Amino acid sequence: MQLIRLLAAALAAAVLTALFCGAAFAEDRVDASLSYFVEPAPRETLHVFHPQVNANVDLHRAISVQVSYDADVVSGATPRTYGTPMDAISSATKFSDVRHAFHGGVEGRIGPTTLSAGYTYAFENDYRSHAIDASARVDLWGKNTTFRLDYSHNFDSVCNADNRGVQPLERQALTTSTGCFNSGTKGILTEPLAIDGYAASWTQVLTPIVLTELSVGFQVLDGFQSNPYRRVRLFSGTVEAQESEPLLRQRFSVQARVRVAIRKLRAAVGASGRAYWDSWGVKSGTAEVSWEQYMAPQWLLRVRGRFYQQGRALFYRDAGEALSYDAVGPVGQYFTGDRELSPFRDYLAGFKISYLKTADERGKFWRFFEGLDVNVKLDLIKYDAITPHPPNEARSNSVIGALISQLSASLRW
Amino acid sequence: MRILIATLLAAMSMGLAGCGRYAVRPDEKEYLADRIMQPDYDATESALDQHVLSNREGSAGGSGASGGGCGCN
Repeated sequence: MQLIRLLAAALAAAVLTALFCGAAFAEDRVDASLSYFVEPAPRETLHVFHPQVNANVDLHRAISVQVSYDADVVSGATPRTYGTPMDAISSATKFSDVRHAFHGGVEGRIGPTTLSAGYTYAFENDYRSHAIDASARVDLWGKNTTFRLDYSHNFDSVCNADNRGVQPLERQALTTSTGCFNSGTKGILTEPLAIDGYAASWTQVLTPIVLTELSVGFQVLDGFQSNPYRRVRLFSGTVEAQESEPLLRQRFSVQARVRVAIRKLRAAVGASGRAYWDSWGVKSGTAEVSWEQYMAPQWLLRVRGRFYQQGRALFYRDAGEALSYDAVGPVGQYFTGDRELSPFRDYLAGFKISYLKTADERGKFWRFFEGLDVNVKLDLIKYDAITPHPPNEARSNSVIGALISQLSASLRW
Repeated sequence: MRILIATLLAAMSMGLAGCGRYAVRPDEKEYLADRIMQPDYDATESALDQHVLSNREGSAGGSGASGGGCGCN
């Protein structure tokens, strides 16, 4: 907390100083990308297409605006009930959904300080989100030090079956998103979820070839966080109830990153580490290394590897273990089939190739533009369950747990 | 507590190295200005990574401000 106070004081001083300074233009640009995520499964593979478009334009020498749109086009299947005997994918519920998100923001630059604010509206059949965000960044001491503060608040709404006044073991799962957010639909209501996010970061130039960054994050989620469709089997199948998770969750994280330029090779190596813990008992660690290499003046190659491991939430139980919900009932009043709360690790390996065209001493290319980037990337993820019990252990079976591919382009003028 | 102490030690090291008489001058920043030295140069890719991984792993959030809903089913 004291660190945040110091950062806020530095930021306030910088804003006052900045009032007497000039400002610089930012870059007008348009970015577009299409990404494809696929997660193979025995019967029904999960597919997600993710188109995204961003535009950033200067309105004034010190003010720019940003607008963006992105979507998730999702199709797949999810097990109908979490428990034993395992609900085979053959009896799973198929689903498809489209999420749209629109974002608008404004950024102002006053001397060494950059202030920004934005608004995002996102919606899908069963989820709606209004989010506001604000950030402040200041470059100090010859731009060798940068402090940044971020805040966001989400006013989210989740469609759910009407379980008002019903005990956890008697709650019914939502069966369809038809009628969601229609106040006249009987048996369906809207659950609120408020999310506050805070972050502070400190970027420091250490030497002419070394850059470091330290950041901390804190997030509070207050509201309905269960999957409204998921049912959990308890007490040898005598009870099947909607998943029950706590309404409050507090998340903390600390991340450090370093980049070192390898001058003779025209390359840079990057490394990062992140520690995370939350009030549900999930703890995780992440380590990542990357190598970026110019193959030619206009061609850039990046390879990277990432390792992630997490422990389980205090109330998570694998369906096949001795103390499962099916065998002994809920943990307190909680029971979940959310595999994101299970203990597992994953490995990511991938590459990215970029073609870079920039204006040179002869001037802008195609008469108007200062830069063009075209990128192709591919990442493979391998999941590895830490427990030997189903259904979590099934995640270890696939050689390829998931694949992420992206084609993107960026044009600057 | 150990993480807090480690964080403070790291912060002090960074400050001592970066804010003292060895601070890097503008004419020494040729390599630092290159895109390969900027961790989040491709903001579109960073947003995608965060979006995808936060929907597959249990430690989403807490690393920065964000918004825009779920899309996770």
